Amino acid sequence: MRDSAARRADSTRGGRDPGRLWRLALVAAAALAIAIFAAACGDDDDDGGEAGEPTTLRVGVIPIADVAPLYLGIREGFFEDEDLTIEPQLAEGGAAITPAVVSGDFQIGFSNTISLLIAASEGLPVEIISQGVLGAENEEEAWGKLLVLKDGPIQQPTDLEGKTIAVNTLSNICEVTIKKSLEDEGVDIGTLKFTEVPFPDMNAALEAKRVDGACVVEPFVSQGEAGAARGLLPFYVNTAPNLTVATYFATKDYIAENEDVVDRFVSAMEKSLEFASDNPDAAREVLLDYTEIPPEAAEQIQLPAWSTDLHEDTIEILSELSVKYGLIDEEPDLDELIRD
Amino acid sequence: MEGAAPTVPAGAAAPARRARPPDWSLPWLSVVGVLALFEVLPRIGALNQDHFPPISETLARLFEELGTAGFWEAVGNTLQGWALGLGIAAVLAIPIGIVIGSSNLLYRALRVPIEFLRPIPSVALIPLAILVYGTGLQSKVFLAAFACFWQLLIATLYGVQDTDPVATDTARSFGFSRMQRLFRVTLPSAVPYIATGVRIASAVSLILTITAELVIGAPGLGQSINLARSGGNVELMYALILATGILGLLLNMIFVRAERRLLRWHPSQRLAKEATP
Repeated sequence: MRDSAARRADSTRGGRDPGRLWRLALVAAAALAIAIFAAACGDDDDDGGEAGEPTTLRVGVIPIADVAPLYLGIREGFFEDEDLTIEPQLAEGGAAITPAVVSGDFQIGFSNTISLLIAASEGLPVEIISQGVLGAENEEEAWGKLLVLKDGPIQQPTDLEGKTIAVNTLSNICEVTIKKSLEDEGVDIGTLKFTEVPFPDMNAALEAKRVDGACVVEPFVSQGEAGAARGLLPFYVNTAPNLTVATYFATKDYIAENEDVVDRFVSAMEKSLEFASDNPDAAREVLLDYTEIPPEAAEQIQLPAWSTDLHEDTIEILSELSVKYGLIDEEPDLDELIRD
Repeated sequence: MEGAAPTVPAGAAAPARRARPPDWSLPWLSVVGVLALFEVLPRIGALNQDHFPPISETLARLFEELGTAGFWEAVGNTLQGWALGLGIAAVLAIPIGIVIGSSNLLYRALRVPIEFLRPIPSVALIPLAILVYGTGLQSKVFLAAFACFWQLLIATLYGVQDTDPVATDTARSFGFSRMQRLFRVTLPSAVPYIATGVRIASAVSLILTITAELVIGAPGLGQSINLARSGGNVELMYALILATGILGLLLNMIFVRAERRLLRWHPSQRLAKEATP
């Protein structure tokens, strides 16, 4: 009786049996789940790291002009000559790179000097292995400038007292260097207000008068100067000529366990830095590969300065300024922070 | 029924019906209207042209992008994250939802933890995701799956709980076992809820995937948008933003069509079909 009743129930649905469909679906879903988990969770690969063996390095970088030498080095084969395959990992900001390097997700990272000083002072085991990018030597070649409105009320640095300045990250290199530059111009920096604005949004904020000054780097300096802004102070240059703005770094453990790989990376990196410095046109070309800077802009921007010299005295200056402006309590041991 | 029909003066022609655009054209007319608005506003200066280019330039840039391999690679990466996030959430949430929904004891026991964990916005978990999964596909999938899981769990729970008790009782009196009742009565009745849940979860998954790409930098359309932004390339940025909107629209359309086909047998679909002219 039960069976025929059930069959009658089936036939009123026109012969379809949704129950069977569901059973099939659940089995398929279970199989799919296993497949998905296997695919999604199973890609931990560790690289060689032994002396002389071809090695793959994940290098955390930001999509800015500063890291053009890395891409040039890849293109020109300098890293290949050292049996290194570089996989640049584009991060959204320096803040994302340091944790990734410390956790081992990236082997090498690119970060500004102040962030590394702060990390070192908090006990993170980071070590600078190579020069990254420098502020210019003089004002003409400056690629980072404090922008103000051309027809605005700010005509000279002292007009900034009590006003708001935009920096891309609070308590970081822009704030430290702009404070130093303004202090040297006789400005009372205690009256300055800082607000965090991402670089791409700074020109808009300046034009909308949401901020009175903006610490901007290329390509936004050229963009701003072509629009309603003018450069007031080259803050990297005024802090110190050839200021080491950012460097490549790794964790102490990684360096200790992979001395040979790090040596090879540094050697290739130095070749790349020199090549980039000597061949600005090649640098402008490679910019178009890894950034979305429009080609016309890439032709006109002031390129950053590259060199193999770490200029440790400028790192020392930044360390002192960090303590002076309250970013860190005491200076970290620079011999520990800088390799060799 | 009304009284006498409204009188029409003798000799007068029947009042002509007001000309009205056909129903199918109405959405298109509003789209054209919005496009025209965003073309005109930047050009007359109401919107700053440097920061908001006219829509014609944005669309032109989008067509250009459609021809580049990089764009389709980014779309592929986004779809990969979307699919994995939605898929993992579905295979976890639907069975768990069925189990919890079918048992009154479990439902009452787990309601509080579920209501506590559900409102946690996935984006708040981004730092956790970066620490545990890094900045690649796994982070993206974790965030998308987390958000979709709750969406689908709730949808499945409601679907199972909303089964007509008369139908369940009838099945029980026919001698159907518990499992048979589950497969023959409860699940078929819950399917529209689950299907709608999947469709909404699909949108959630896309949002979270793109957000993760934007904030964490995992490869995909979100990362491409941020790259365009970092390079000061405003046209490309808006073109990619448009692309993400179109992608969401297409995915939704696919799900609506699939729903209609797969649920043709369900009474709710049949009634809906009868209701629409």
